Amino acid sequence: MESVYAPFQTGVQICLLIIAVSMVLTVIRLVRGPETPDRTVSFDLLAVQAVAAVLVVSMLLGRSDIYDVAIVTAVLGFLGTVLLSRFLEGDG
Amino acid sequence: MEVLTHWEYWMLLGVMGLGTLLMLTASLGVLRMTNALARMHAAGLGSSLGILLLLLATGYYFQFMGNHEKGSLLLMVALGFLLLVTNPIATTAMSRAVMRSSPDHDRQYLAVDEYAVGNRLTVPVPSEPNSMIYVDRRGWDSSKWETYDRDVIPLWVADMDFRSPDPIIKALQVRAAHGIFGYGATEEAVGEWFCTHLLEQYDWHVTPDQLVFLPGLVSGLNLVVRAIGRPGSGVMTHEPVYPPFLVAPGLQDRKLQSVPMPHDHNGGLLRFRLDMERFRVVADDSTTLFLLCNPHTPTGRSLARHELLELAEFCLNRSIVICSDEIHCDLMHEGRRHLPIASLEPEIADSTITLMAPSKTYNMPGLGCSVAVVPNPALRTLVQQAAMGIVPHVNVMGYAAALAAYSHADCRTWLEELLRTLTANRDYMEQALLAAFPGVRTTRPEGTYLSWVDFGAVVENPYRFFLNHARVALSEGSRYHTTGGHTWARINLGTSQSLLEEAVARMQAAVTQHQGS
Repeated sequence: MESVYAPFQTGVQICLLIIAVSMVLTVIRLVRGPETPDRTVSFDLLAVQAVAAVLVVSMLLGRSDIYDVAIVTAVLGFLGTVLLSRFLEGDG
Repeated sequence: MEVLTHWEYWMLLGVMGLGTLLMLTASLGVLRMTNALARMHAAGLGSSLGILLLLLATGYYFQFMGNHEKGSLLLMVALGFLLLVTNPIATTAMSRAVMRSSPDHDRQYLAVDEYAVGNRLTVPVPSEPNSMIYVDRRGWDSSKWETYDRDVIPLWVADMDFRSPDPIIKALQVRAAHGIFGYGATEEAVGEWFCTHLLEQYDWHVTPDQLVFLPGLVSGLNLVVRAIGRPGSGVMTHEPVYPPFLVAPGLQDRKLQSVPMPHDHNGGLLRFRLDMERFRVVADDSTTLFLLCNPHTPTGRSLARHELLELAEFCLNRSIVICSDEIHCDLMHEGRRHLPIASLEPEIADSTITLMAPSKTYNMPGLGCSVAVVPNPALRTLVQQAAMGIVPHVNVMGYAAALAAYSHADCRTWLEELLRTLTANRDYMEQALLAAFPGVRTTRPEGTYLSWVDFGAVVENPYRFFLNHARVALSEGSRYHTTGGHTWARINLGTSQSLLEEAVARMQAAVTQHQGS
């Protein structure tokens, strides 16, 4: 990573920070609720933001192997939301 | 080793920055939006666009950066495509779940289904003939009850939780049973009865040809602003005031000239008045219209004869047309009588447009039936021309309800009972607020079912504070001012007293906890 343009490195770090702040805000709604649908929405958003964080970290470390984690997280997040929704509807 | 150019780095940073900001927006939306459906849409839109941008940036970076991951961009585009396809599926599943998991969300639709299979809809019968019936409105297309979460007590938008008088409900049932909902004719009988109402209640002589029926008061207000003067003309009003007064001039390309209302206080009790001196200073040659709100929203002031005469003299001397919103005219406390400004002198009537409606009185704003009283034929033509082709006629159900409201004696009896209930609620709220929150100041409304309260001694932004910490939704004070007003809130008293008690208890607990921490 010695050849990476320094301002870019700083920029990526700021992006990671913004995503971290976003995740904290989402967690506040997750805790507050007040009801299951609100928590489902927050959970879904949190899953997407986790993927975003993984992507940014992979760039920060210059390791492309990390983003396999992102793919798995994304697919799991989608499945989780659909399952939760069906559970809420009482179909599942 | 292949390295990106500086230009490419900055491009990547821009894309990533936008993506992460979209993520932040989604989180803020989820945190700040007032109900689950709104949160879901904020999260869905923000996160799917944000993640797409981040995926593209990552793919590009690894494709062309030193590591030479040839398939990176393609892989990321594929993943982005997968997320774009799956996100709407997840969102749809989630929105269905949100709609259905609310225990009363189907109530309205179930009621309609029941009707469809032949069961008659039954109207609950009051135990006492004229008592106010509080109705649980959850699940029934109510803006007041569906905007916030289920655990929030809504004391904001100005409609009441009391069932309308029986004659109105029966008139609507009869009209619906006719089964034809074609184009309506202007109901002359409504005009006749409305004029009778004005004569009996306010000793004001108006003929049906002086009336212009409109589908709502706010559209009426905008219409008048558009009809009078020309682009750039001054429109004068007083504040705090019902927010559309402050917005309408800008919407219609006019200049807002708003003058603060000073208030006197007696202990914690406030009384607002007009600032005539300030009006004289602010008015200029461009001022063509004065927007008056009487009985006044949100302070509940009902202006006295001498105040109205002074204002009218000022306006007549400067050839300023008066538009007087008197929608709360029938909701007066302690037998007080409302004075329509146009009823004072024929010269005043000649330059006044008065907006009235049965909607607040009989709790039927959803039916969209208002009326502008315009005795001056030239002004009336201006209003009618401004409405032409843009403002629809009043719908047939609105006319049916208005006819019942003004023609049926039982509605008058219902109104008297309503006023007793509202006065009791007003007195309860005043005492409860002054006892629970030392330093807080409130109005004692002479008309309307709205209290205007300054919570500045207790919290900085009562709307946000009580919504978040007491789960009580008030109307936000800053919306009634051009600047400032954050410490104020408007409280809707048109509900059951037990709900008001619960709201005050929650608000008090929240403040105690806040001050303790």
